[in-house]
Amino acid sequence: MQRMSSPPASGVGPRRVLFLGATVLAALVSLALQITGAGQPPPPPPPTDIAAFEQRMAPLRALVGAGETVGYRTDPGPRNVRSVKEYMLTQYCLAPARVLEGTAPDRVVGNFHDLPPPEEEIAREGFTVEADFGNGVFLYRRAR
Amino acid sequence: MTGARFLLVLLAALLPLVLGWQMVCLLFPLSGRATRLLKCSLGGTIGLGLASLSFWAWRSAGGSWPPPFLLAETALWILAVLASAMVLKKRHSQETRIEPSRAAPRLLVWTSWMALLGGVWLFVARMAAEPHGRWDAWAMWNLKARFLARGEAGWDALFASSPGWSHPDYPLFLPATVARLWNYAGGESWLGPALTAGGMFLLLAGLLVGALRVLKGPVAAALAVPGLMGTWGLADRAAWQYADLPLALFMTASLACLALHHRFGGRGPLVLAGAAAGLAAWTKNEGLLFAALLAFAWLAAGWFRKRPKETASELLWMAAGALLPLGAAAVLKIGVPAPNDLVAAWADPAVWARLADPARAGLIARSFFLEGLKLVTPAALLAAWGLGGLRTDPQTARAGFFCLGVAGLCLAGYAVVYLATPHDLAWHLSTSSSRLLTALWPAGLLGLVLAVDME
Repeated sequence: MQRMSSPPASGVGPRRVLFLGATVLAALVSLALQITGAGQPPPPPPPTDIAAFEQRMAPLRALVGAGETVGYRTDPGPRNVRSVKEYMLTQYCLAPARVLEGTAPDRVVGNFHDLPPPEEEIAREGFTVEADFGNGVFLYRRAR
Repeated sequence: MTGARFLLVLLAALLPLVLGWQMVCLLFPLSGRATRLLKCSLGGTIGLGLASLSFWAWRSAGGSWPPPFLLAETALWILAVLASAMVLKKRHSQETRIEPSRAAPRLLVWTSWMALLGGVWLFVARMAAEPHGRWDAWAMWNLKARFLARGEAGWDALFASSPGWSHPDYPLFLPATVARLWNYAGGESWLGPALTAGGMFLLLAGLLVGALRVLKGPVAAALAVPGLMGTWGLADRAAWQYADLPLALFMTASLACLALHHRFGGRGPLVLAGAAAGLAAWTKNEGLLFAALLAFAWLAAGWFRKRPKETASELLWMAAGALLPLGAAAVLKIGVPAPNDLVAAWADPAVWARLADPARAGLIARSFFLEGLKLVTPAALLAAWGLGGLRTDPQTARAGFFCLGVAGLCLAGYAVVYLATPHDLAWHLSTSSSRLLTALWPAGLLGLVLAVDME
């Protein structure tokens, strides 16, 4: 068995002590600033809504098959961070189904907050309600 | 979670770590107290990568629900562990023993422990505030993990499910690691990705400290802890559950193995360096760039030192290590027609105008500079500390400069990607440059500490 010595720890001479101290101090100050939140951008909106959203969508998962492609529509209005987030969270909840924005597939998930949903418009597009979960979440099916 | 499930999860985590540790012992026969942390963290890094590959291979082969996978994989791991243990027993007499040297000053050791605890506390606090991680965690990485965990044979629908900007073509180290844990746990708790992120965070710290302990001694190792934990945003990035931290881990592991090769020679560290670089490519597209630039830098360094034959042979050993993960990444890239917005940009004739636009270059330089400022506070002081003369041993210093060179090349590569990006440049920089630089920083820190004189 060969023997080697790991590089020695000695040799932190006085010339370097100042630099050593300053280096460690700078790193610790950086760490402390992060812990106290100083200089951080404002925190994002409360993140617990993911768990709540998953709970809201949970009954829908049983009706949407693995590998199925479903459409997605939500409250009318311009896209914003919340609407994009909820669309992507719907995909997250329903995986491994695919969720496409729009009403091209035969089954469409409705995710509405401003009840009642635009029923007339949905009916005009040829969809009927397959399931109403009572919390603003719907599953629509294209009428044959 | 039931007791049996908990044991299964423990098994899922421990078996790859043990096998990885044994692989490191086999390929890099060092022994002694000073080498333990390095072996554990490097072994854990390689082991987790192998576990991710085995899960993906199972899924790709049409493997069905958890029970068969758990049985087959556990049996395979146990066999591998036993086989490598038998080889190790025979190899024991050939090991090089690294004797522990005098410890670092006590104040510095205590400071390092404080910094480590502070970093862990910061990670836990951020994780508690956002247990599902930030946007990309659930919209990209954990979404893919859900496809892998839930999807049975149809898991590859994930490549079509995401909008183009969420990189459906990205490799699968992180999703496969999380999905594997979920399968063992029998559920999809947020703890899966959170524990994965925490494990990677600790492995990164352990790897950096362990490598520096062997290569440079206890002062450098102790110094690296506050240097790493003080890095602005590192604990945040870990808690966000993005793939940037695993990428940082694999890049640092690869460069650390090459530094060990510089110091101790042998083919084993080259194989491990190749495996880690391949795993970086199996983690993110940035890792592919890293693996390519690493090979280029190794060739260039060999050519510069006028030893082309040896360099070619070394590169082959690295390629042998990278074969599995790089092969998996290649199969994914070739076999799955998922588009990549940044690659597609090169087919657009307007890309040449974007590349030649000085205003864009200025914007990128400004962003890198400002983001770099957050990282360099400890780094600048370290560099100043080393200004007294680079009297470190030449092999270690060379390894340090090599790490810094590769990190610099990666930075240049990122700049070219930003120049060519089809997206709004300011938006692209604001959403990614800080993460990319943070991921590159541990490798840079390794290089910096290796290169400067500590005596």
